Amino acid sequence: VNTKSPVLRDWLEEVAVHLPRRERRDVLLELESHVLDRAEETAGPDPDEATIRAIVESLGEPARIASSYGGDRYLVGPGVYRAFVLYTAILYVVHMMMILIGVATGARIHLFPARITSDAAFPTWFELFGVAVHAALFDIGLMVVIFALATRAGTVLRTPNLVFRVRRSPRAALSRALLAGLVIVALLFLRDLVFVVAEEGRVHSILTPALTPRLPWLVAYLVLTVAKEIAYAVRGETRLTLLLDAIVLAAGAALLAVLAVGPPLVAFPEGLKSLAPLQPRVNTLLLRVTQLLFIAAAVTLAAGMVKRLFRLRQVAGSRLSSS
Amino acid sequence: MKGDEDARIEVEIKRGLLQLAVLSMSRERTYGYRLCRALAECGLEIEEGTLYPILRRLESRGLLESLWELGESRPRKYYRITDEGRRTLAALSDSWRRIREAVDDVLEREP
Repeated sequence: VNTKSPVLRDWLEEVAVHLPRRERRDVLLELESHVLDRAEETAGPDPDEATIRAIVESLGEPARIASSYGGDRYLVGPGVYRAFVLYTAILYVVHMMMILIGVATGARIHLFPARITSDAAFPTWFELFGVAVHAALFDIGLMVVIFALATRAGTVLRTPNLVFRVRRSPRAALSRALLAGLVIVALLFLRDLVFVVAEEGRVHSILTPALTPRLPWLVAYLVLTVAKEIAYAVRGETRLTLLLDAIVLAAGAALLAVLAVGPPLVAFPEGLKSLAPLQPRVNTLLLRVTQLLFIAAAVTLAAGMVKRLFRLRQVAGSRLSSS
Repeated sequence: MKGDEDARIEVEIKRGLLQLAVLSMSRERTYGYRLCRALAECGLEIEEGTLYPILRRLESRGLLESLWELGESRPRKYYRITDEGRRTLAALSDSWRRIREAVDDVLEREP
C-alpha cells in the first residue's frame, strides 16, 4: 500500500488482513484507486484526511468489504490463517517434544484421547514415524476446528511482527494485562501449586534456587507490562503509550537475554524415581529448550520494540502533516 | 421488519441483473469508479462491495478482461468485455427481456 494518506493506509491494511494473499495486491490497489477517485471528485485534486475518512467509513467495515470478495468461503479464513499456521506449528513442536521425552524416559504419555508413546520399551523408527504422522494429523485437525470456529466468529488474529501495526483494541490490551497479572500471582503466591511435579503423593518444585535473585526483576517486568497494557486500554495508541511500550519491550528483551545465558531456572529435582537414570539428560534438554525459548522471546520483544519505534515515527509524521 | 424483507427481495432481484448491467457497460473500456457512477446515473445504485466482486467474477469466467493502466495520475484497472462476454450478454439480454415481459403480463393481469 503506497498511499500517502494514513487514514486510507490504515483502512486498506485492515482490509488486507481479511483477504486471501494471492488476491490482496490487486484488490487493495483497486480499492485505493477507487477511494482516491471519489475523494478527488468530492474535494479536488488534494483531498484532506477528513474527506478520505468519510469515504472509507461509507464503504463499510473492512471485514465486510473483504468478505464480499469471497474471503468467507474459507474454512480457515485469511484473517486467522497465519496465526493458524504459527500456532499449529508450535503445538506440533510441543507435541513432538513430549513424544521424544516420553520415548527417552520410557514414560507413557497421553494427550487428550491419544496415547503418544508406544507400549514397547523403545519404539522402532517405523513406529516413531507413525506416531509423528498421527500427531500431525491430530494437531492439524484440532486447530482447524478451533480456527474454523474463529473464522465463523469473524475473529482476526495477528501473528507477532507479521503486520506493521501496533494498535490493539482496549479489550485485547486488558486481556494481556490480565494474563501478565495472573503470571505475577502464580510466581509470587502459587509457586508451590503451579511449578511442581508430583510422584507417589510427594510434591517437588521444579524451580531452582537460581530463580530467587531474579524473581524481583521478572515481577518488575511483568508489572510494567500490566501498566503499559492498561495505558493502551485507557489512552489508546498515543506517542506516550508507544514510547512506554517500546521501553518495556526493550527491558523485557534485555531481561530474557540475561536469563537465557544464566543458570537454569527450571529443573527436575533429584529423587524422582520415574526419572532417576535419565534425570541429568532430561534437565540438560530442559535447559537447552528454555534457553532457546528465552532467546526466541528476547528477539521477538526486540523486534516488537523496533516496530513501536517505527510506528512512533509514523504517528509523529501524520500529526505533523495534519497540523 | 417488513421493510427489511422488502429490501432483501430487492437486493435478490438486483443481484443477477447487476451482472448483466456491468457486462453491458463494459462494452466500452471502463474502470470501477466510472462504472459505479455510470450505473448510479442510470438509477442502479451499486455498493463498491458488490461491484468489485462482480467484476472479478466476470473476469474469472472470461467474460471480461482487465488491464492495469499505470500512465495516469494513479494506477487504474480497466475492464473490457471479451467475445465470450458479448455472447453471454446477448443471451442474458434475451432472457431478461422475456422475463420482463412475462412479469409485466402478470402484474398487469386483472385479478
